[in-house]
Amino acid sequence: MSEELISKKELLELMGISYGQLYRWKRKDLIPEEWFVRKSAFTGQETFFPKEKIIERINKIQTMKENLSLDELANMFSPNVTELSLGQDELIKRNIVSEQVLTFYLENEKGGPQFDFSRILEIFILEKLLQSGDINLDEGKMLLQVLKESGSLIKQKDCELIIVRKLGVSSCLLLVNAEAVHFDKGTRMVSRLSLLNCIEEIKAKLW
Amino acid sequence: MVKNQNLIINGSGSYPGGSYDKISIRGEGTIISDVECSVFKIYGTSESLENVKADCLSVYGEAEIKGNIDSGEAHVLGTMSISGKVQIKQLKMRGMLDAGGRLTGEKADIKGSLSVQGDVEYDTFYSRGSFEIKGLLNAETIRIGLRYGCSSAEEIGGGKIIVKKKASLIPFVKEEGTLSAKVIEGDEIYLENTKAEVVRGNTVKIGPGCEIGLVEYSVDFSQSDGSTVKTKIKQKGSDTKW
Repeated sequence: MSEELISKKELLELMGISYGQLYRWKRKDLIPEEWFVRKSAFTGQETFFPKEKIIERINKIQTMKENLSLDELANMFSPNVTELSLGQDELIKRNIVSEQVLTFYLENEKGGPQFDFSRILEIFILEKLLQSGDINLDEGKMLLQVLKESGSLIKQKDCELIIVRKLGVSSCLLLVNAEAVHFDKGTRMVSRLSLLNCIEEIKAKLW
Repeated sequence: MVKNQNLIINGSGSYPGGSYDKISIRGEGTIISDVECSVFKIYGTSESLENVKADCLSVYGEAEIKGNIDSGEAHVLGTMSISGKVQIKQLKMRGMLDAGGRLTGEKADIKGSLSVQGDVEYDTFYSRGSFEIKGLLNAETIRIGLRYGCSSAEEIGGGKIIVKKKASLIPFVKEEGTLSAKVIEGDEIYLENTKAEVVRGNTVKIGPGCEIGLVEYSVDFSQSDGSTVKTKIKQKGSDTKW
């Protein structure tokens, strides 16, 4: 594990929260079990967290708990995707996708106008990468194929999507619960996306 | 919901699962697949080989569940042992409960003996019996009355944690219950007859009969005679808006 860790004590002090709050959030599944790393320190057993992730998560909880109940928040953070279906217009209205990308997606995929969550996720990732200019339309097709084929994995696990290019040839990888990836020198990583983050971004737009 | 049939086992029998309105087992019954019902009453001996889902579950006899259980309300006056995960929103226990996985819900009222291999998560956890929790006991309010035996948990965490000794049920016997845990963390903590390696909290009060390795507190600390605390550390700067 190369991630920087923060002890529970430091975290509470840094974020200005109490033990009670932290345990409450854990109970409500706002903080995943895997983030609790138990280690024995010289002061006795202590719990540590991946620093970046936990701080980001607590910031989100603190800003959003004004408007949402804890259960709603839990729903938002859970990687298990909720039952949901949206129409095309709704997607454009909520800024999830632009019209051009939507047309491109539908041309390639030939699905209906109603979008369930896995299709929303696909189109959102496509939009993100196409708009940023990281990939071209052909690569977009490749991306869609990868996402379609491994759709069932995405919902459960911590997945990352990586697009690499070498000598002008690109390929698309999906990493499941991976810690790190290494490439040879000639390979350039064009883009790297955490799907869980994407899911959270979408959910934030849906509320 | 469609009105379902009832399943009543008087004597002995083995039945498939499915969806029922009421299930009542008076003799010895086995349910061999997943079962769902609104009321589940066990007076005799029952064995469920798969998962159980019930709105209200009462065990007066003995129940063994090999799968998971999801119940709105449960009263256990007899013995219940579950191999999988347990979700019981309102748990009232007067007998024995043994869970192989984690135990979660809203309110737990325990006067008996509880043994859990995983974590226990409740909004309020109230115990006057003894328990053995191999994982973390996590609840908003934890009140533990120590009457007999040794209760233990790997870790205890929550908002308010109160551990007090209670008079033994048998008069003239001076046996007292004890609690042991590696780590106890909460906003407000009061302990009696407790052995712990580390106690961390905002307000920590150590009553009689405790043996604590390290106390870390941020607001207030007090210790009564007859308790030992090896080290105590006041945390600086964190006594902001609790």
